Amino acid sequence: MSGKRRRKLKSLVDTINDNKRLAIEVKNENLELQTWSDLPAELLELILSRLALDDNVRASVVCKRWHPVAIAVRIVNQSPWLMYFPKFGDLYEFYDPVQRKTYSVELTELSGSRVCYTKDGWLLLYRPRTHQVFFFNPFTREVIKLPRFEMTYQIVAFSCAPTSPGCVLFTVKHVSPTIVAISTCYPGATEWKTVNYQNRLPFVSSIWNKLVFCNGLFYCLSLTGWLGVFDPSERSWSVLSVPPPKCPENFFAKNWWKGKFMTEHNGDIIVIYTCSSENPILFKLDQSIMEWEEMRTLDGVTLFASFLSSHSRIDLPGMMRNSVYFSKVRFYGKRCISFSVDDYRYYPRKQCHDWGEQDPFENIWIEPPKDFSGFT
Amino acid sequence: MELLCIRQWISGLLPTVKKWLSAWCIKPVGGALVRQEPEYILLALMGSPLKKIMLCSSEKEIFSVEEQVMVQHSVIINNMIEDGSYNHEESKIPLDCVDSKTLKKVIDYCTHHTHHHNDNQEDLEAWDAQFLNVDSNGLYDLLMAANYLEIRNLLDLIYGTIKNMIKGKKIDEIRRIFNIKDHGFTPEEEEQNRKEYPHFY
Repeated sequence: MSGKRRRKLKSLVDTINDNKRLAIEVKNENLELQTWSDLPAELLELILSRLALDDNVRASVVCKRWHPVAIAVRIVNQSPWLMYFPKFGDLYEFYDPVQRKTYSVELTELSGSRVCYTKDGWLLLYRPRTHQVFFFNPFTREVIKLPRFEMTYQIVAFSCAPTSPGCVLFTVKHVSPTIVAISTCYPGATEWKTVNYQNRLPFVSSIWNKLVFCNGLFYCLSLTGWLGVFDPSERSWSVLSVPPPKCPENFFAKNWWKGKFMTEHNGDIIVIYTCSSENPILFKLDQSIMEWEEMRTLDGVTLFASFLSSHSRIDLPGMMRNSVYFSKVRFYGKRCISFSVDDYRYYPRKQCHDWGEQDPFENIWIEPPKDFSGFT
Repeated sequence: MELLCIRQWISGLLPTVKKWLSAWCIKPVGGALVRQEPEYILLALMGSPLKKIMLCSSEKEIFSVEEQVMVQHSVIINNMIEDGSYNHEESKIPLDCVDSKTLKKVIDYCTHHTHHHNDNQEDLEAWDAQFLNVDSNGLYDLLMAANYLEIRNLLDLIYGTIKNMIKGKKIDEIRRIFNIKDHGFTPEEEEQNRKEYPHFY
């Protein structure tokens, strides 16, 4: 150390003994060394905002100064909520799996109707007595009416929120194994348009079919696992010559056609086959070779499976990732029943989950808008 | 004549030429001429791109570097030269928060990227990787210098490196890499963190 500094310190710590003085001298030197934990907040923000969610969480626990900045720039996606339809009355419940909280709200607009599909926070509903079809947003209470349509027991889907341009509704019903009647509509139309199409491969439709809109096309998975595709802009229909997903024999026990779920993620079609005595199997359609391949990992994605429509999400709180959340909440602990693909087990562990036995119209996963403050 | 002699000769002539050009109100033309001072026009006409500027580190060491190199990379230096607050004949730019070692590296980065900007992407990336092969203290100094001088692409590069230093690592390792000896959490807070994210530790 230079003589100058020693003299400076000596005047400060004159009365302190030698050991202590040495400690203070050393400490003064260390204070001059800038450290990463003392980065200016603006720089920290710029650095931490580039991290993926789990690295952001890591950074938040590295040191105290990084913690508030990491939290401030953290982007966590909104998880879908499970919406319950009451058998009687107008009180609807919404379950948030992240907060494990339930919200109740009275929705008189929905009396006498049953749910058909959901996407982008909008519901499609049908009144069987009057054949009324309408869109409803439970978060904004907006209603958008559609032309009447006699929807027998069939599944219907739509491509995007009715407030977005290019929203199309689609439903398919088989007339014979090689002929289907496809009906389409859109917000503002005066009637539904029904056209018959032929398919080379047999296709049977029922309420157990699954529908998903992906890459501008409607994909429809039949009872037996064949995939029909409708292009709403070209108005073309075909059944893909992709053999159904391969399942072990015991999957074809009772209700083998029932416990299925279909969704899409990043342009890929994902199908979940369940069986009461086994763990679920996930399949992804490999569009390059046109085959279903089994998915062993979800790569950080979370799937939300409900009978009528399912969703996929990325960047959810860590614990929720790589799991499939089913549409059932245990009363105790308010935990949603989920299947972890990584751990290859259900949470909570139970003898068997028979998803085929669930009431299809009991509940549905719905996507609330970002930063939804609550029901007024 | 040697280039140095030409430039000395021009410097000598400058006051007269300056007066002459401004009398004629010659304005800059084309993309290469972005200044309005006559000496720039003259030098551009003479085809001399090697105009140098002086940077002074915190340790009072002077570094001479091509003006176009620093102007291309550092927003701060570019602004200083644009608004005329830098007088080429007399002044040097004092950089009190950048030490000599770091300033040399920063100049090295800017010079390489200006002279090699036509290289293919892979070679540039390899050079950058080698350039950032420093310890965490060195990286810290580079970050501070790049931030002060506002060198966008160097900053982006450093952010990317820091991101990789954090990515997927255990907390204790991150603290070691960044030389964070005192994490600042109370024992209760640290325990709470370990309980909440056991797989990070």
